Amino acid sequence: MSSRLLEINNLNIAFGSGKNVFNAVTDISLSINSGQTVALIGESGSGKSVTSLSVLKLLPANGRAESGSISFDDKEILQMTEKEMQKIRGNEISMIFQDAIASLNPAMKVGVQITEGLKYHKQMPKSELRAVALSLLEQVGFHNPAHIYDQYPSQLSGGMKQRILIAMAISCKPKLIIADEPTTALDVTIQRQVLDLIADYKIREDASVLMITHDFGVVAEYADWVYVMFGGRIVESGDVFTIFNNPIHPYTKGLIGCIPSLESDGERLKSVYDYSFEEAGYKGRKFAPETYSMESKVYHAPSSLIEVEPGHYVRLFDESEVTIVG
Amino acid sequence: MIVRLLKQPQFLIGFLFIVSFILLSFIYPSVMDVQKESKFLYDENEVIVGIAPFSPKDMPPFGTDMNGKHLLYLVLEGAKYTILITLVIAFLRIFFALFFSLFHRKSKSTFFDDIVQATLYIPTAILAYMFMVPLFVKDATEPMGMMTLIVVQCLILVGIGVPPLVSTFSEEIRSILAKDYIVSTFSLGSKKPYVYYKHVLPELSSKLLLLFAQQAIQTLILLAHLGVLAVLIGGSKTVMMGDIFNLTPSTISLSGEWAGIIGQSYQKLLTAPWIILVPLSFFAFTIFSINLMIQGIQNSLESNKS
Repeated sequence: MSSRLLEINNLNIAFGSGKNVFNAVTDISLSINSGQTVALIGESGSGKSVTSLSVLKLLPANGRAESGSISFDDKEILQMTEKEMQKIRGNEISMIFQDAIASLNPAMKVGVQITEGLKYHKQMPKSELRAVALSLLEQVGFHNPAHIYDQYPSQLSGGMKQRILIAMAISCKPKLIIADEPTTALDVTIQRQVLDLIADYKIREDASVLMITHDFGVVAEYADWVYVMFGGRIVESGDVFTIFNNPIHPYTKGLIGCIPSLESDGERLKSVYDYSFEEAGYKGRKFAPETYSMESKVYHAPSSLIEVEPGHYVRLFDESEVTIVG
Repeated sequence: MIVRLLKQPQFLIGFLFIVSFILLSFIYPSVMDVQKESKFLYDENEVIVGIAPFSPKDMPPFGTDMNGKHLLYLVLEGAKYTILITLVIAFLRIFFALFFSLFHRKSKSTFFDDIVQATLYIPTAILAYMFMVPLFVKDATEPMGMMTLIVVQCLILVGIGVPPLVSTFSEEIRSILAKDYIVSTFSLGSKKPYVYYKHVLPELSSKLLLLFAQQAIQTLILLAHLGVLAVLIGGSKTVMMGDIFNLTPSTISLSGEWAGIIGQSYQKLLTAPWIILVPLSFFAFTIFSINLMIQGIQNSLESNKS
């Protein structure tokens, strides 16, 4: 029986202050069990990366968690001090960033960068650090680890850099890996290698993975559970089979519909916005975002996640609660 | 970094000039046949035909000042004080600015930056003059000794240059800390001191060197300006010069730095211009050398980027 590893409840994240407050994430709730791969999917700007950074308390200086809770291994992350967080980062939760080029210090040898996490969390002599780093390089598929250890990031290809980031992330054997679009900057031949490395680690160490992506192809192959985000909110969640076989929210349908099919002959590729939010409905409820405009009027209605079938949640609002706000 | 810099010919030429000038300043009495003073010019019959100051044509290579002191030796003597004081001031400005910017970075208030920006347009010579004149008044009433005076003056010159640098460094550190690889390092559990030591300072180092050279130039220009305002490093004394019918007060530098040579003779700009032009030329040549070094550093940074 797998236990609950990460639980986020009603999390709200805002940026800025005073009149310039921007709510990047509103009322997010999600959970990850041990050994599970959970996908957080949505378009750019939907709040996926901000949610993942808040788990490590690494939000930019002008961002903050306004309310809600993040519980990791029964410890409340938002209540932790910086010192307590330093013990968790890299050791129990680590992150693989999407831009491998920018995520490695260009002036530092990659071998030294791999050992950084080990230096903080495991007290090891220098010689042992190097040995562990070489073993990690081997684990992520380098056949000449001693040579790679002394290379600078500029001497490596994009895929090699991403594998270095994976080596850094798994160096302390964390229980949870947050992979923030780890394959976005890579060509398709390398994407699979990188995702397989993460999946292998997950199986080997019985770890959990929070996979942040906008690619439903990746979700279908690697995820157990899916959360779909739109405009800073979760609009649909469920196990991967339910989401693929019975998507309800038009945004989820749009994302799945965007996957090109080999069978469709001569059809135009679909965009996520080919699916109308305002007109689609489900059992008397509508999908429209909380605030939307129609016929030069602005409407507002509070929405909530409704369990439409066991374990399958969809964000809906009741038409009877719609008010005109402008 | 150093090896890369020494491969830049511009840096090497500028660096060699500065170093050899300082070295020469220390060792010239033992390697040159020094005759420091020529108050009178005699003909072949030992009859006085001229009295100081002598032009470079009469007394090569640079002529003499009002007291018959050879400007070559005055300039060589003053080089060690001028260049070393300049380098120390530039170094301390960078050091303190870096120290304070590590604290200032935490402050989100732009108040300090606004104040600094507003003061950037006040000529530093005026600020330095305002702070140093009371010092001379105090020194006249309660003598504090030349070394103490030099230290206090240097601290004033350091203090004037620090606030704009704090603003520059804070901005620079903020932009480095926002880089993805810093967030990546923090995500591994790194502590702030480690990140500053291993990531921020190495990235800043080449810029520190560049700013150090720029500060050295600013300090040299400031010293030259202060010399014209008769504000001399190490203090000065006023002596009466001329004959009994035409005595005029003249300021003499106690430390011998270049600005002092300008300060004590700037009234002679029209009658004996070489006394001003020789130290000014050395100021200019030193600034040129440091600029060459800056070009070398910039070339090195560019080649590092590509």
